[in-house]
Amino acid sequence: MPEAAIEPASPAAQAPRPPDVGLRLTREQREHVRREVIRRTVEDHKEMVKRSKDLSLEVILNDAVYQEQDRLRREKPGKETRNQVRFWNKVAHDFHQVSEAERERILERIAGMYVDEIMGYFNPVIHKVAAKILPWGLKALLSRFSPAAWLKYLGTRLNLEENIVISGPIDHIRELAGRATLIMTPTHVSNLDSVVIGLGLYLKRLPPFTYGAGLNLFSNPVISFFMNNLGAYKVDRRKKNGVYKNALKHYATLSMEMRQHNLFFPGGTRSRSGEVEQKIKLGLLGCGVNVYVSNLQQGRPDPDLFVIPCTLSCSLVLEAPSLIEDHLKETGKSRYIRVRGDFSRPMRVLKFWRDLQRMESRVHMQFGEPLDLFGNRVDRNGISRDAHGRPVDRTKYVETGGRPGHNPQRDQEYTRELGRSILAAFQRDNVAMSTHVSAFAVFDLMRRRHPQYDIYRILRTSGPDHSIPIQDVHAELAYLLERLREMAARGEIHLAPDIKTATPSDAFAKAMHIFATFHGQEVLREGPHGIYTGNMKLLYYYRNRLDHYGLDLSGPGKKE
Amino acid sequence: MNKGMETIGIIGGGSFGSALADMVGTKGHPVLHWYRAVESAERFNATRENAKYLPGLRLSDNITATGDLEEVARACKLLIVSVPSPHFRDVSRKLGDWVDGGHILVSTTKGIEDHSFKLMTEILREETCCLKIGALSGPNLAKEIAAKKPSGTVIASRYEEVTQKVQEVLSGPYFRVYSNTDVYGVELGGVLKNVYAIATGLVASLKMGDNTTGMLITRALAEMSRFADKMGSNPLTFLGLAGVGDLVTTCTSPLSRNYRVGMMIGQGFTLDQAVERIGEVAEGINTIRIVKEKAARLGIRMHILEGLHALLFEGKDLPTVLQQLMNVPQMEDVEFAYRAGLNPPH
Repeated sequence: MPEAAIEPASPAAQAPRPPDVGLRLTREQREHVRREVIRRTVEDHKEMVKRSKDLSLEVILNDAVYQEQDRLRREKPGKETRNQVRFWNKVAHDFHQVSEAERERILERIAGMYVDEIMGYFNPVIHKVAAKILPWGLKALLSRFSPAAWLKYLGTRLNLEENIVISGPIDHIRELAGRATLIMTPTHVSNLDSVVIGLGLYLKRLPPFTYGAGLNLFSNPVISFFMNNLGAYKVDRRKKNGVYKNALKHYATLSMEMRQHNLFFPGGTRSRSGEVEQKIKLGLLGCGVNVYVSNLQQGRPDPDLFVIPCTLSCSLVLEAPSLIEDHLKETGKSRYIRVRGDFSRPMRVLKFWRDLQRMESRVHMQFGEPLDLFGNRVDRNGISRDAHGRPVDRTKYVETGGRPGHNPQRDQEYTRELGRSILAAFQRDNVAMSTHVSAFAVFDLMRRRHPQYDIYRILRTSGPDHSIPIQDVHAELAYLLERLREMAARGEIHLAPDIKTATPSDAFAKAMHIFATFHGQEVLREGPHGIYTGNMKLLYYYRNRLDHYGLDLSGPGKKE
Repeated sequence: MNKGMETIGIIGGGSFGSALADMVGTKGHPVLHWYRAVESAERFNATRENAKYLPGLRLSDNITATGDLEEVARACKLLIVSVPSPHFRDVSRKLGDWVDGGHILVSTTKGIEDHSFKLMTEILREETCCLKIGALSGPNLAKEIAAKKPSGTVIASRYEEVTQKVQEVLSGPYFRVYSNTDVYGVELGGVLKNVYAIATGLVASLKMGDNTTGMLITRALAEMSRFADKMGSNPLTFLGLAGVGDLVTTCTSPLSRNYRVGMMIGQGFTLDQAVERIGEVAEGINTIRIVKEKAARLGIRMHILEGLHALLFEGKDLPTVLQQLMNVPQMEDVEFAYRAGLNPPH
C-alpha cells in the first residue's frame, strides 16, 4: 500500500514527509471497498424505503432507469454507450415482475457497476495514446507508474517554484497530516487545478490526497494519466440518480475511514464567472462528520478529520473564454457539462504549460488555517480553538446522551456551518493580482460611463469607440490599490507581489503584458484615445475575482 | 421538584428571565437562575420574589438564584439567555469560558447591536463555541406570563435538537411553543415591532381612531417583512407569532414600554422626558436609528420608520410627518403575494 520512497524535490524542502497513508489500494483493499460500497448503498436504500410510505425499491430502480436512459439518449454513440444502453435495458426489463429480494440483487448490480466506474481502472488505450504524444523522457517515467517520479520530473523541468507560489501554514498542515485525516477544500478555477495542487503538495512535502475528478478531465489523455496515477477517482456529474450519488458518497466515506487524505472542490465545479466561490455543495463534505462519529464510536486512536481551505488564484486562466460564456448562458452550472472544451485539446494544455513557464504569470496557492469539522480553527497541536483562542472539546458536538452518536439533521447543520467558515477563508485568502485589479478598474469605469445599461448591454460595449483616457484608468487603479492595501492590512485579502507596492501605472502595464502573453490584445489594448477592450466578457471574468469585497462602483468616478 | 428532571439554566434576572424561570420551575425542573448582582440573587433566595421586575409574585421553589455563571454552565446543558441587549455580548463572552459544543443556547433578547447590526444569536455564535443556538420570540409580555395567562411563542433554530428540547421544557398548560427554522426572521420580528409600537402609542394618544391603528399595524407588517426579505429571511415568517403576533400585542398593549414612549410623545413630552419617565430600556428608540441607516444603505422603502426618525431625531413636527406619510406612493397591498404570483388573476 505505501508508495515508493520519494526523494526530496529541492534543497528548500527539508521537512520530513509524514508517513503516507497511501492512495493506491491493494487488490484486497479494493475488494473490501467495493463490497462495502455496495452493501452500504443497498442498506441505505432499504432504510429509505422503511422510513417512507411512498418509496419502494421498485420506485428507486424505476427512477435510476429513467434517468440513465434519458442521459444515454444524449450520449455520443460508441462502444461504451452501447454497453451502458444494454445494461440499463436489461435492468428495465428485469425489475418489474420480481420479488423484493431479486430487486435488491439488481440494486447490488447497479451499485457494483457504479463503484467500478468511480474507483477507475488502468486503461491501456489511454496509456497508449498518452505515451505516443509525450516526449521520450516522460515516456520512461510513465512506464514506472510512479506519481512521485512524475512530480519529480515536472518539478525539475518546469521551474515550478517560480510559477506556483505556495503560502500559508504549511508546517502546521504537515504536522496535522501525521495525526488526522485531512480534507482539502480548494477553490476551483481551472481544470489544471488538480495538477497544480498535486505539484504544490509535492513541492511543499505535504502528503498526497485522493480526490474525485470530473469525468470530463479523463477525456484528455495526458491529464487522465495524472488523474489515475495521482489517486483520482471518477465523478460523473451527469449522473443524477440516487443510487449513483449514494455510491459516490459511500466511496468517499470509506476512503476517509481508511485514513486517506481527501480533496473536494466544494464549489462542485469551476467558477464560471471568475468570482471566488460564494456557495458550496455540502454533499461530500458532509461525510466528514459521519466518519468522525464512527471513529469515536470505534475508539480509534486518531479519530480526527481536519479541513484545509485552499484558495487558488491565477493571473491567467486557460479556460476563461469558455467559462465566462457558460456563465453568461447559465448553462455550465448544472444542466450542461462540457465534455470537450478547451481542456480536452492536449496541445492547448501543453501550450498553456509552456506559456506558464515563459510568462510572468503566476498561480498562487494559499492554504488557509486548518479547521475542525465544526468550523473552529485547529492549532499545531491539533487543539480546536474558538474565536477568542479558548480550547474547544470537539467530541462534545457529537455527543448524544453523553456518548458519540449520529444525528443526520444536526450533522447536516454542522456541515453548513463548516461551509460558511470555508467560504470566509476563500474570501480572506484570495490573492488579488494585477490582471484582476486592472480588469476591475476598466470594467467599473465602463459601467459608470453607461449607468443606464444592464450587464448584458455593458458586455457588448467594446472596441476603440469606448476608449477610456489612461489617466482615468490610473486614477481608478490608485483608488482601488489603496483600498486593497487597507483590506490586506486588515487580513481581508492577500495581494500578489505585482501589486503590493507597485504604482498604478506599473500595475496596469504589468497586467497588459500578462494578458497579452495568452489572450493576445483581446482583454486590454491601448489606442490613440486611451484604453479599450476587445473582449468585454473576458474583462468581466477577470474583474469578477474581486467581486464581493464592496469595491463595486466605489472609485473616484462615483464621488464626482 | 421532580427527581431526575434536567436542570435548566436561565441567564439574566430581568422580568422575562424571571417569568421563564418560574414557568420552568413550576413544571418541576430544577432551575439555576443567574443574576448579574450577587446581592440580587441572595435576596431572591431569601424572599422567592424578584422585587424589582415582578413585585408581589412568589416564584417557584425550584428556582435557585446564583451570581456564578460557571456554576450555571456546568450544571445545565440548556441555557436560556435573557439579558438586555447592551450587556448581551459581554455576558455571552463570559459564558464562552464555560460552555462547550454540547450546550444549547437560546436567546430571548429582542435587540440589535448598534455598531455591527448583529442580532443576539449571531453574538452568541461569535462569543462562544456553541453551534446549537436558537431564538425565542413572540407575543410574550413578562407580566402576563408570570401571571400564567395563556400565550404562545416561537422557538427558531436550524437544529431540531434545539426546537424539540425547548418545546419539551417550556410548553405547558398556559404556554404553547411553535417551531421555525428561520432564525433571522424570527429575531428580526422581535426587533422591528418595537419601532411600530412607538408609532401606535403615538396614534393612540392622539385618539386618531381604530381605522388608523388597523392601517398602521398592517403597513408596519408590510415594512417589516420587506426589510426581512432583503436581509435574506422568509417574509412569510412575519405571518406567525413572532411577526404579526408580537406586533399586534406590542402595538396595542400599555404594558409595552415602546408603546408607552409613543403615547407620552403624543402627549407632548420630549423623547428624553418620555425615556426618563418610563425608567426601563425602550429598545425601539435605538432600533429606529440603526434600521433607518441600514434600510437607506440597502435601498429599502420604510416610510413609517423614516417618519418616526424625522419626528424623533430630525426635529420635524407631527403634522408634517403625518402628511408626508399619507402622501407616499400607493403600491400593492400584499406585495409578496403579487411577486410570488399567489394572488388569483383578475
